[in-house]
Amino acid sequence: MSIILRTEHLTKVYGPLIAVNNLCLEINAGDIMGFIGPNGAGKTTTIKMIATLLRPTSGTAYVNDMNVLEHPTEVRRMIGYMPDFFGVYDDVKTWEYLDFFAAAYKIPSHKRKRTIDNVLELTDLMGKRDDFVETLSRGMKQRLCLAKTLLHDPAVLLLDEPASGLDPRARIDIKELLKELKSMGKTILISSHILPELADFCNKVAIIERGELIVSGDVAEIMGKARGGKLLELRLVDRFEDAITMLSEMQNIRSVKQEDGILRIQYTGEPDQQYEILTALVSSGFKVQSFCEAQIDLEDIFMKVTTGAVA
Amino acid sequence: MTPLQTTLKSAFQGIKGVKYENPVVTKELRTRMRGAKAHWLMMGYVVLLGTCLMITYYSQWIVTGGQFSPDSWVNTRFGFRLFSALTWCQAIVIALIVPSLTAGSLTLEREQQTIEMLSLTALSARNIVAGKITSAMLFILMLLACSLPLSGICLMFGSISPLEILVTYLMLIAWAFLFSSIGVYFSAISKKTSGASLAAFGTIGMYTWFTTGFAASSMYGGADIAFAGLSACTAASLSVSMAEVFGVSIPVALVGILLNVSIGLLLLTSATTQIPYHREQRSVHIRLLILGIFLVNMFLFVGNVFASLGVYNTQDLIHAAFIVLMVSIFPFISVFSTGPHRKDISLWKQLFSGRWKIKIFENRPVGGFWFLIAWWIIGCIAILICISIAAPGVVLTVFHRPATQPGVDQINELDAIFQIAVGILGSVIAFTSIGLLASTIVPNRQSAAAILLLVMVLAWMGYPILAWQTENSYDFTWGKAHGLKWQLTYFYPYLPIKAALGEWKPGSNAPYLLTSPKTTWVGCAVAWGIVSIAALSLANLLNKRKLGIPDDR
Ligand SMILES: Nc1ncnc2c1ncn2[C@@H]1O[C@H](COP(=O)(O)OP(=O)(O)OP(=O)(O)O)[C@@H](O)[C@H]1O
Ligand SMILES: [Mg+2]
Repeated sequence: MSIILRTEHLTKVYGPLIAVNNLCLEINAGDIMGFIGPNGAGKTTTIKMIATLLRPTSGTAYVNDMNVLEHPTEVRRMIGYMPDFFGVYDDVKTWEYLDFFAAAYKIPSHKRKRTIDNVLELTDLMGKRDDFVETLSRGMKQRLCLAKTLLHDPAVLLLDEPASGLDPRARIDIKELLKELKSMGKTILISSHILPELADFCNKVAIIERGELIVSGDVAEIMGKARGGKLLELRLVDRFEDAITMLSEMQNIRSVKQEDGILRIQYTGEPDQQYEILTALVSSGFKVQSFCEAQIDLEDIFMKVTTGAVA
Repeated sequence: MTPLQTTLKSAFQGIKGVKYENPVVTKELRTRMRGAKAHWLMMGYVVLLGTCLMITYYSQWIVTGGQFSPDSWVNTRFGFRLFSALTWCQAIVIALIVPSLTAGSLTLEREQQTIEMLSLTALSARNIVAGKITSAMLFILMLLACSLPLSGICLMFGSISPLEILVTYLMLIAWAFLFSSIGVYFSAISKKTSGASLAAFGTIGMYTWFTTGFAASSMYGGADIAFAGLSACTAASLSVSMAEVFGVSIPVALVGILLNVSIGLLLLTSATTQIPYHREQRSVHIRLLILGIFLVNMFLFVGNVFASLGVYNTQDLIHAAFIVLMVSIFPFISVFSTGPHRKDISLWKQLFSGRWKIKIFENRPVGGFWFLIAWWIIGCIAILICISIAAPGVVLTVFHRPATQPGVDQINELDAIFQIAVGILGSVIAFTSIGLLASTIVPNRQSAAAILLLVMVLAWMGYPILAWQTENSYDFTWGKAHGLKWQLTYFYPYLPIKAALGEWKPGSNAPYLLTSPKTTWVGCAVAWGIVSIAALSLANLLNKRKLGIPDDR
């Protein structure tokens, strides 16, 4: 796999504050990398430096082996950047908005209509083609911005919190869209501090805190390293204390915690032995409501990583 | 197909090929022309102009009591009077409309947070600025086109030629172009639309006031001034006037159009450097443009003054030329000598090593340092050339008032120019050095410029205030001139001019000289030279402490 995006000792200093410190990242073509960090970690700063919008204090980044400092124009042609905060023009219709950007990206006029229809189709905004952009809902604007980002068919997408401020429904829409882009073979760097939204389609993850890259690599690999096991969730009707005592004594269970009526079980055994826990519980007469694997994998990693569990 | 047809066809395709497309223009016009508002505005414009014409017409009617007799004085050039009123009205309305068309052009992109997305597209900063100005100008041209029928009515009254009307319209277009550029420029350097509008309104108002006053004094003062064509308010009256410059007649309208357009281009070029993330090296163009505009002005001004030498004498001519040079250079000192320094090598090295040709156009305060010095020298050479063309080999008789005794002296005009040039060069370098120093102390460019402006105002105002105070508070005798206060005369930037040209009229409070006026310029150069060395050394010292700290931009 070829490396399509690479940062080399990328650093940005604001006065006394080191916003991004010596960041080295590599992303292969076709990867979807989740770029995670708490507020103020330096995600936006990093993405802007890659997008040629901010001059690094030192270090640099390469997109397709083009240095962002030396060949900003070429880099801009290859990337699609969606900012975390953005606006739309007043008094402009959806298609006019896209037509403006298509022309600004020098897409020849005879191809423009088809390109615009394609991205509108993809982002499911066809019905809003002749509406004024300021009348669109927040989620639609977000999708419109993504549509604008896709106009010049960039190989690399830099998406800065594309789902922030959206309701769950709209968030799922964006997620579906990103999955579709993934299937189109785009490379995506997507930042977020809301972890679950990245969990099911990222294959890579990089975690940044206070400007420092804490860990990066394969999601599965890091998950294993971070947890040393799986997190199981168990709901019971009653007898929590008894269950905790019993589970704690079982093999392959590292710890059991109770949170809001849910028991969280740290399981280190083989996945196909998992059922034994359930059998044991049921045969001991516990009223099991549900028994499942926890879904919030990245969050789990994140909490561990940022509290120093993995270096 | 015949060969001719083929040729024609390919030529036609060639023309179609150069079809200009700027998406910014398309977008701006799309929104501006949407709905009825543009039509209402056009209608309002025509109604306003029509009302203005009507009032002019009826005021004439009333004066003549409804009798349009051809020999009545009010009826002389009646068509011209109408057209003149129309032009006044258009020029003022344009000055009022343009800020609202242009002042938001780039600040709105910032306020709406669209500027990042815009600057990532394939459009260059130049494309963006060109798009903004083109769309504004197209709108103004449309308004001007709406007024053409009214001008046609004026033409029918006679006493004004189609040529005059054509030239007037060209002047109005140049006027609108300059104002649109001012709007776009302030929009590019401001964060908020409100700030940009205010600055644009203020500047446009001042420019209108001064240039129109200038034109008026030209119209009623006998000889035409070369700069009278800057204002479009009086365009109708001056459209075919000529001004004398070194014995050559130059159309006033041409000077006005060219100057307005080139100042506009200068502002637009500066604006392109202000759009974030497109840090193209434009300082070369900007500096050359400023220098060019200044030299043209200098030549026109001195030549013009020379043409009316009956009014002025050679002393006044030299004096006026230096005033033009100083007025054009001192405000720019605060622009060029401030900004972030490089922090990888020491200030001395930045100033004194490397190729000076590159240095002059370097986009750093040290580049500004050398540019300002070069500018002063070029300006002085220009004065030397202008004066030796205008009044060759004149020996000036100067009155002076040294500390010891007043007297009269003779000085060759070229010597006087040289003395003034060197004497003031000292203060130019000193102010520039203080600008470099201020930029080392305060990181913010605006604050550094403000500090420098304050220092300059003090230097210019301090001495006159002191002198005025002293002369009024004491029964002044020659002996007091030896008091410590008078050492300060050397720090009065104006002194070299006063000393070399002997600007002492009876009763004036011109400075008392410490030494003979023949050596005063040396004193000034040395005094300011010491200030320069001190400021530069301190700046170098402070900058050294910051070495290795990378630039934060
Ligand atoms: N222009 C600036 N001047 C000074 N400091 C800045 C500037 N921009 C960002 N910072 C600082 O840099 C740090 C990183 O900011 P950044 O916006 O990259 O964080 P982030 O990870 O995107 O956070 P969030 O999740 O809130 O969007 C913050 O501490 C911020 O205060
Ligand atoms: Mg952010």
